[in-house]
Amino acid sequence: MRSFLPIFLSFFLLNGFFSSFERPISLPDLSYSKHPVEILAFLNLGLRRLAADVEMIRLLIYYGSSEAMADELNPPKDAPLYPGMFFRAEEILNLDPSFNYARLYAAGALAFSLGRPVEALQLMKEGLVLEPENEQFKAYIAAIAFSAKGDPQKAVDALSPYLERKDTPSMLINISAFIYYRLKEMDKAASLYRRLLDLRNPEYHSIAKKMLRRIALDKTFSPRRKRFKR
Amino acid sequence: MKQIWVLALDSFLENIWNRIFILVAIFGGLLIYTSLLLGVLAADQELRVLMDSGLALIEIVTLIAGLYFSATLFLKEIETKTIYLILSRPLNRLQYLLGRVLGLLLSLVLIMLVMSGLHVILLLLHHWNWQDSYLLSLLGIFLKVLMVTAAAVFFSLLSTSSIAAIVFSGSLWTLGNFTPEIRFMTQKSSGLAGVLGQAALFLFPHFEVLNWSGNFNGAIILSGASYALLYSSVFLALSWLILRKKEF
Amino acid sequence: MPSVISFREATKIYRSSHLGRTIKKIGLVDFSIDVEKGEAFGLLGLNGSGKTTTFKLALGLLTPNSGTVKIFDLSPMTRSFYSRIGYVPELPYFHSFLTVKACLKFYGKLSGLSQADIQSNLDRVLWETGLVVYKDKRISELSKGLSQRVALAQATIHSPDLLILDEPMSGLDPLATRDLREYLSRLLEEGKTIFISSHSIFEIEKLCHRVGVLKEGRLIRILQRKDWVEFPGGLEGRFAEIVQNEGSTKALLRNSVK
Repeated sequence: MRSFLPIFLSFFLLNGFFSSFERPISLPDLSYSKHPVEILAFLNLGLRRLAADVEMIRLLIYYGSSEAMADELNPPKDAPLYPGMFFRAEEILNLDPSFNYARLYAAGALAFSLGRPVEALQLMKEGLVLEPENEQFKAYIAAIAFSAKGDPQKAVDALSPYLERKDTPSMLINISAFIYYRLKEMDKAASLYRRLLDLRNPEYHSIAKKMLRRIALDKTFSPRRKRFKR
Repeated sequence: MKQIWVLALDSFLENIWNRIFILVAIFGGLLIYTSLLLGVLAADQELRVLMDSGLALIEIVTLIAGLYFSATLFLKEIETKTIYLILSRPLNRLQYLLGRVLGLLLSLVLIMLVMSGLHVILLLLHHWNWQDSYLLSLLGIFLKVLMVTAAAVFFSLLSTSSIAAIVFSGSLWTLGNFTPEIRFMTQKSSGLAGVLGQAALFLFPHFEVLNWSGNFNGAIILSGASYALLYSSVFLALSWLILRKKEF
Repeated sequence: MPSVISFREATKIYRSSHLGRTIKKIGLVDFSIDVEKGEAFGLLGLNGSGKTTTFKLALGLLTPNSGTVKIFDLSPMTRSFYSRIGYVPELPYFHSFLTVKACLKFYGKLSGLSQADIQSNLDRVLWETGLVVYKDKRISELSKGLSQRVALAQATIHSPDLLILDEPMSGLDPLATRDLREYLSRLLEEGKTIFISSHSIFEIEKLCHRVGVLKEGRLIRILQRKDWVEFPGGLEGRFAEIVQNEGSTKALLRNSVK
């Protein structure tokens, strides 16, 4: 027993000393979570990042489902579409604050598709607190603000330098391409649709092909072209 | 040293022959299934999810293998009386312990190499560009499993029950993954909760210091690796103290 | 000259705890013998009489509660002499995936033999145990009798001076038993010492110079060869007579344990 004692003591000291190298991490707020037990199980296994991934996939399925309202308990009659979008994104970012794709996706959907810029700005501001130098976040905040003021041209121009980045959601490229199309900036729109076709994610491939065909047709029958024919 | 190596090689061959391929086959199947599923579900983040799920699977499978091998290592040798044949040779019990544990670790390294090889092939098929940090992630996983494996060896010798050893060391695994949250809560708590939280930080391992997927530098890696090695050495020293006096 | 094996009043009591109650079980009580160089000493006894406990004490796998055990005049805790011992436990297990040759090489290396010694000793031991034709077979393909030969081969690959054999004839057919006995006789002629237990009294009778009879952990008699050679029923008759006539020692043992 006498020889066990110093070894046990060294065990405690070792843990105590190296615990100071560990950054404290807050427990994710699971009060709004739909799968708290599952998330806790992931955390217990040390799979925090994977928990965020799984919740992200759930968010994608949620946003892709037309019955998104159904999973909210007793939604009020005038409840917005996809009411859980913000909290689901917050949950993912609680699990992995560096998951920028999740932040950009949810903020993009909230600001440019669902018309809820306040929640989108909240997500982006939280991101900026974590990464104050992140230029992409700043551009997104500007784009959200322009979009809220009804100036899609400035919004999409603010976003455009970052649309080539790997962590930019295809959804945002699609939205930006469509805004350019509406603004009659066909070359920019076509370039973005072509980029969508280059991505492995096939989600927007068919819409990109359709829009590229439409852009080609529009160019053929544009007033300038018609004049030339005459 | 020669005897340690002979024993290590023996354990390694036994593990390869008996069990490793089943585990790797399970891993391969799960990995391919996951990659196909995620390709559909994860959209733009297919690569990230494939990376995370692959590393998680490598970690879990290596952990299961490590726990199983270490918890049954000596008990099986006692049951089959192989230990009599070995301890009636000119080698001491420390050499026996080190040889067997080294063989176990070699088996785990092989499992990890095969699994990560499969994983990398799958990632490359998904147009992943090689990153050196992948190797660091693997090293972190190995060190974490090493810590739990060393604990399982100790518990198996202490309790003479492989199930108890797996339960105790498995608990260490889950608690050790929770210490950053415990530390966070301890900082916010006072009184008894604070004291209990502080005690937990001295009792449980800290696996967060081996998570190098985010920010890391040489000092972080060095301190994490030293912690894992020292921690495992403490458990092996305790195991030796038990084995030294153990009767068969 | 010191004895090869020396037990002096060695006592081993097994203790186990169950629900807070300590249960004691007698392994061996006041056991004293000396086995000399070149001698074959047999242990006879019913199941649970303490034969395996005796061997484990000799090998340092157990430590006595009281008394002393010495091998080559050293405590079994001194591991320096273990290259001079060969041990065959009862029903040993070998990795089933190994070939006979690989298995013997493994034990040769563990015994500290050099690569060259392993090669020469391997050929010798394969020949002597009749395993030459099976050397490339996997252990899993061997019969029980052949596995027992492997057990003997692993115990002799390093040419030990002392062989400790716990039921080495277990599971062997009559021919294999005869081969084994002949092999052990040859080893005796070479001056090796054999400490053996077996339920096969006939083999012990032919091989051993002396036999110790154990009952309930106690050595109740040591017989010289002349004691059974001149007895009408041979060793078997002597053993039955001794074990049956020995009055119930349980009460006695209980007292001594307390």
